[in-house]
Amino acid sequence: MSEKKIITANCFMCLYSCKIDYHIENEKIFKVKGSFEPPNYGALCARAYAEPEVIYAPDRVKYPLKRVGKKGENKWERISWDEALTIVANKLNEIKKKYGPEAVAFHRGMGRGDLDVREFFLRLANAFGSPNICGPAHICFTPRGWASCLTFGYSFKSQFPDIEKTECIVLWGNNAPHSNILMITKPIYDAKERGAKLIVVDPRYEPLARIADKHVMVRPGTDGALALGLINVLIEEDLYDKEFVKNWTVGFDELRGLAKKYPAEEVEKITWISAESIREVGRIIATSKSATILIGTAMDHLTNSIQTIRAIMFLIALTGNVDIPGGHVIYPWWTNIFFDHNEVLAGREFLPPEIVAKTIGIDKHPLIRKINIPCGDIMDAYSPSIYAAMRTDKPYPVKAIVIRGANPVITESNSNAIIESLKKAEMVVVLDMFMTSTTKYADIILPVCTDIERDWYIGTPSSIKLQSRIIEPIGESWPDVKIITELAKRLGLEKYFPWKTIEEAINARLEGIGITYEQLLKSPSTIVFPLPEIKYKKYESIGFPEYSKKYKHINDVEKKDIMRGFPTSSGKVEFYSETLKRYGHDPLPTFIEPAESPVSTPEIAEKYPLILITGAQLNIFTHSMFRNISLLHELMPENVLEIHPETAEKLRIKDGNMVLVESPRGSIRIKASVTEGIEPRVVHMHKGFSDQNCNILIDSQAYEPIIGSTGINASLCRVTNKEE
Amino acid sequence: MLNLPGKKFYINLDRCTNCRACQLACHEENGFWGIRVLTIGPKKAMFVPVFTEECTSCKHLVEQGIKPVCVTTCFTNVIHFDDEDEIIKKISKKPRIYGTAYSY
Repeated sequence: MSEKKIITANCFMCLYSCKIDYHIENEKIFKVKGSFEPPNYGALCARAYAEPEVIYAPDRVKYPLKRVGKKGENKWERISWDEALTIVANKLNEIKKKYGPEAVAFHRGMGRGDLDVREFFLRLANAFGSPNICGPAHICFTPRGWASCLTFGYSFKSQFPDIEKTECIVLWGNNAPHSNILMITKPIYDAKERGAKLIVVDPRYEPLARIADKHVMVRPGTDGALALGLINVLIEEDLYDKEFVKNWTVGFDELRGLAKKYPAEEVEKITWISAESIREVGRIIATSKSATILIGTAMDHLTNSIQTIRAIMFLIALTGNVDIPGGHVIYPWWTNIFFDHNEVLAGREFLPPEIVAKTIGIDKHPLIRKINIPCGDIMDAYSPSIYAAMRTDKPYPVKAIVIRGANPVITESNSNAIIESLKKAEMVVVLDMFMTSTTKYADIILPVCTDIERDWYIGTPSSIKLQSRIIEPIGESWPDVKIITELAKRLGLEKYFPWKTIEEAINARLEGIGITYEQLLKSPSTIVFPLPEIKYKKYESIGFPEYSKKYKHINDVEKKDIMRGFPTSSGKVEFYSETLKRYGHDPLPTFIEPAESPVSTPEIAEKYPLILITGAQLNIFTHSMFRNISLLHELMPENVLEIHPETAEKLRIKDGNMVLVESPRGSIRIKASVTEGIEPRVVHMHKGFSDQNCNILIDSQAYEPIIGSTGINASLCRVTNKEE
Repeated sequence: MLNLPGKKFYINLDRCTNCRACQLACHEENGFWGIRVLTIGPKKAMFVPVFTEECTSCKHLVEQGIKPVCVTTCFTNVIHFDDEDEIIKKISKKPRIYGTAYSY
C-alpha cells in the first residue's frame, strides 16, 4: 500500500531557507510546493522545483570513492567509509608529522546547510592545528564587512536597509533580482510603486534598471571615483547633513580636502558618466528625505574594494541616513538565529599564537584575524596565497587540502593555477554531493547528504524547530557533521569532538543562543524569537554595546568604555581611519585605478582592449552549483559573452557566434550574446560554468592591498570571432 | 488556454525578472509547460510571461479556492488571477511604465 504524506521543511538550494511542502509517496519525494508560511508565503524560485532531481540525480556521489587513475582522469573505486576515513586520517597525520599541521589546508565553501555546520568544519581545522582555512571571504561579503567595521564599527550585516520606508534606493553593483529576490527585489518593486526613487549604478542593464529613475553605466572598478564625485557634489552644493557630520563623524575636513580633487568634470573622465548625471544622482540622494544604498557583491570583486566601499558608505553618513527610518537601521544580526555563528564551536582559540603567526597571507594582509566581527566578516587566511603555496612551497609547503562543499577550480581566480596546485598536492579530500570540476583532482571523495536526509534542526531568521530526516540518505551518503566528527576521531582529535549523538551535536551548535535540544524536543511547533524593539538613532542614546562587549574587535584596543556613539575607536563614524593608517594604508579612500585597466596598464590594454566583468549570480543556479541538473540546465545551457552591438560590429561578431575571449592568463571559447544592455567598452560573462569558466581569465596575483580581493569585476580581455 | 468564467489573469510586466519559477512551477504541478517567459528587446531585458495552449488556468486548484501555481510561486507578484472587476481596480491604481497585459 502506498503511503502519501506532506512534510514542511526548509529548501536547501540557497541560504534563504524558504519553506517547502515536500510531497512524499513510498518514502520518495515526488513533488515540491511552496508552503504558505514565512518567509516565502507560497512563493518558490525555479531552483526549488529542481530539488527532487537534485536528490535523485544519477550523478550524485553515493559511496566514498578512491581515485584509481591519474589526477584528472576521473577513474574511481568504491570503498567503505572506514577505509576512506582511515586513508585520509593517516595521510593527514603523516603530513602533520613531517611538515607541521599548517601544511594541511581546509577549504570551506558554501555547501548546503552551510550556516548550520560551518563551525564544525572550522573546528576540525583549528583542532587539527592549521590556521590555513581557504574560502571566498576576500571576494564575498568580507570586504563590505571590513569597510563597515572600519567606518561605523558594526558589521555590514547589521545595516538593515529600510526599503519599506525609504524615499530613495541606490542599487550599487547589486544584481538583486538574481541574488536576492526575496528580501531586496520584491520590496524594491513595492517601494517604486509607492513613489520611491531608484538609482542603479551598474555597467549592465539588469532587470531593475528597467524601472530605475536613473541608471548610470559606470566604468568597472571606478566606483570609488564616482562615490568621491558624489561626495564632492554633496559638499560643494551644501547638501550634506551638517548636524550629523558635526556631532558624529571624524575626519570631515580631510575628506573635504580629498573630495575637492574629484569635481564632476574630472570624475566624468574617470568613470565615463557625464558630469550632469553625477550631479543629478548626488542631488537625488541628498534631497530625498531618506535614502538607502544597497552595496552589492560586485564591489567586493575589485582590486580597490575596501576603499571603494568605504567611499560609498560615507555617502550614507554624509546624508545622515544612519539608523533612521528609511535609511540603514542598525540592529545586531545575532538576534537573528539563522545567521548566528558560534564562535566557541569554531575553536579559533585552539591555535597557539606561533601557529596563528604562520597564517598564510597574514604578512601581506595584517588585518586578517584582527577584524573580528563574526558573520562572514572573519577571514582566517588568504586563499590565493594558500593555493600558491601548494604550487611553490612558499612561504612553506602545503601538502594537503580538505575541501567541503566547494569547487575552487571554478570559483577561485586563475583556474589553471588552481588545477596545478591540486595536482601537486599529496592528498586532496572533497566532501560533496556531486562530481565536480574539483573532484576530478581529488584523491578521496566523501559523499554528503542533503539537509532533508539528516536529523537536525531548521532555522529561519527568527525561529527554530527540530527536523527529522524526511527521506533516508541516498546511497551511503552521510551528513556533514557525522563525516567531520568521524574523521576527527580517526585523526586523534576526539577530545575536541566529544559528542556521540545528534542531540549532543545540536546542543554544541546552539550553545550561546540560549536554546537546548531538550527545549526543542518539548516544543512541537516552531520556537519563535521576537525581533528586538526598533529604536532609531541609537548612537544618541544607548549606542551599540553589543559590538563592544560581545565580540573582540580591532577598534577597541585602547577603548574607553563609552555607551553613546559608534563602536569605533573614536566613538564616531570614521571618514579618516587611524586604524588603516596604523597598518600602513591610506586613511582616506583615495581612488586607485583597478590593477588592470586602460588607464593603469595601457600596455596590456593595447592587446586586450575590452573590460571584462564576471562573477554575476544567476537566479536559476546557486554560485557554481546545480549546472548538472537538467531542469535548470535547460534554462541556460551554456554561458554567454554579453557584448554591445557597436563593439560586436567592429569585431564582425553576430549574435550566437562562437568567440574566443583571451586574457594574459588564458582563453575560453564562448557564444556571443549581442545586447544593448551593456556598456559598449565592457563585456560580461556569468560565473560558475565549467565549460566556459570565466576564472581562467582572471589574475589571482593582482589584488587589493588591505584584504586581497581579486579583479573579478575589472580585468582586460580581447574578443575575436572564431566562427569564420 | 482554458478560461474559467469570470476570472482573468493580469500580468504586471514591470515586475518580471525572468526567474522562470512560473515555468517550472507549472511543469511541477501539471506535467506540461503551460507558461513560458520570453526575453525580448534590444537590451534582452524585457521579460514576458506567455501562456501556452496547454494552460488550464489550474482549474483543479481554482475549484478548491487556490490560485494557479504561476501566481503563487512568483516572488515579485507579476501574475495575478482574480475576478475581472478586481483586476480593473488593481490596474487603475498602479503606475504603468511598460504597460500591463490582460490574458483571455
